Amino acid sequence: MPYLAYDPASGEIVGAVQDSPEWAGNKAAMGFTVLETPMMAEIAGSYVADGAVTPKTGVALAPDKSQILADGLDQAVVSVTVEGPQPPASIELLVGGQSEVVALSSGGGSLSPVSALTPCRVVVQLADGITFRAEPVIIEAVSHE
Amino acid sequence: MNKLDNLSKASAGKTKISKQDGKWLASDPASLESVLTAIEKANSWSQGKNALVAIFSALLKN
Repeated sequence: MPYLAYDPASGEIVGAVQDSPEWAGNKAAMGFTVLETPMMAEIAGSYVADGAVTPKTGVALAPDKSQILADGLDQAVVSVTVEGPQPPASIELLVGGQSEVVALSSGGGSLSPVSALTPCRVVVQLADGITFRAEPVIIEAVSHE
Repeated sequence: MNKLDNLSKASAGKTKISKQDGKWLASDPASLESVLTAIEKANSWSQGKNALVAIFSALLKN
């Protein structure tokens, strides 16, 4: 019987194993909750909600351009689309590690524009990678001279 | 450590970002442009020295 261990506070799955009660015992001793599951869970794409393995909600991050001029004027806008029939009213993103909560309408919204003063790379990603999944976006600012 | 964490750490050390007038404004304090701007702005030996110290501190931190 496969076992799955998750963080009871966040629902994040920390591991899964086939047929190892010892592993399950060790994880439980570490404070994780252990579930016996009928089949191996797809760990990266799932989390545990109310004791049930649940697929993460897909989010698409799409910049209008992935390269901008580092002149403080040129800018990229990242649009956000949350999949599913009941998307949330907002979603938190990290822009170079700084937080922005993007308001959503019918699952769609836009991050504030990103511009740069010097060549650099800005990573835009989800703040909550446990219940949502999305490929991060990298915006590269290049020299304008 | 997942891909997002790695990306976040890779960018966090080099790119300084802040929000101004509803827009994210990013810069790399260790970039050549930042170095030149800081030195150009300096109007005394002390300010120039401080700019260089800040630049090399940022480089060492990374």
